[in-house]
Amino acid sequence: MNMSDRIWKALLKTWGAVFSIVSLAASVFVYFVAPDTDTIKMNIFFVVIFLFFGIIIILLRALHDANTDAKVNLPKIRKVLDPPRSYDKASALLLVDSSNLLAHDSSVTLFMLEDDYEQLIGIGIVINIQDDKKVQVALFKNNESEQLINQLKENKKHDLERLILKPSVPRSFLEGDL
Amino acid sequence: MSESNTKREIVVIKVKSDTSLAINIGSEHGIKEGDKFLVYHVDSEEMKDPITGESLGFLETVRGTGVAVHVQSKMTTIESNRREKRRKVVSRPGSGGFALLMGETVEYTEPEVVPFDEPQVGDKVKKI
Repeated sequence: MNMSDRIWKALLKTWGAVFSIVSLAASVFVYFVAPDTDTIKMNIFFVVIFLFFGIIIILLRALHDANTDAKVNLPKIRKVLDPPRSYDKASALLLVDSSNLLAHDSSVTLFMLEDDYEQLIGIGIVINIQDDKKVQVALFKNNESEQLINQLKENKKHDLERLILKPSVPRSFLEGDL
Repeated sequence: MSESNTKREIVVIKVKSDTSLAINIGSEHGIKEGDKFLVYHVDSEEMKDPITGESLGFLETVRGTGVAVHVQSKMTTIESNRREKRRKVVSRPGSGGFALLMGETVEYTEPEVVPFDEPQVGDKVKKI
């Protein structure tokens, strides 16, 4: 969820639209009812305006920070390529969006979503974090995934959207069973 | 790493062998023995996202990784630090009068250094 989605959701949850309409109606009503002869002092007017401006900026910043902190999105796979020759035992190279969850030489697991079931395709290793922060993962398949990986290299939208990269590995991998 | 080093472009200045390279950065830039580096080159072809058509930039192709083994003031020698277990089969002759008959074949795995993939002078290097 991005920041604008968050604001829209908060607006709906707090009945923000209703309050906005009521506030607008009230201000129009006050405009016609309140006597236009009374004035407020300019120094007080500007103090109040800048105070509210400051509060709004602080709240927007807090919203932005909260939104950033709340991001736990798994990194998106943008492309599946042939592995570099320096990793000739790998089956594929995944080009992945920048993510704080991934570090150089860390292990990851690739799954494909099939009818709500996450099918394990293989284990990967982060081999490079590019200057543009995109991440390269060398994928090492399990024995059953060869045909599927070749299919993934065609980079079809339907396949790429079902891939899930998790920054963790199964216990069986650590114990040498995979 | 020093401030000047983070802004300096690190490149391969000499290919000593397929497992040993010299790079243009040394102790003056905060490098010390044991530091690890990634050697790569940037593809000239721009990558596009197959779904959105958006540019993904230029792919960095990894040549390999290395560790600093000899640091000079302005340059460093790095050696490939990737190891892969390769299966080896050796025949061991027997001993004594039945040497030929008593020989045996032994299989074992031994870690071997993985060479850099066709490293070139000018290839980019980054500290990892």
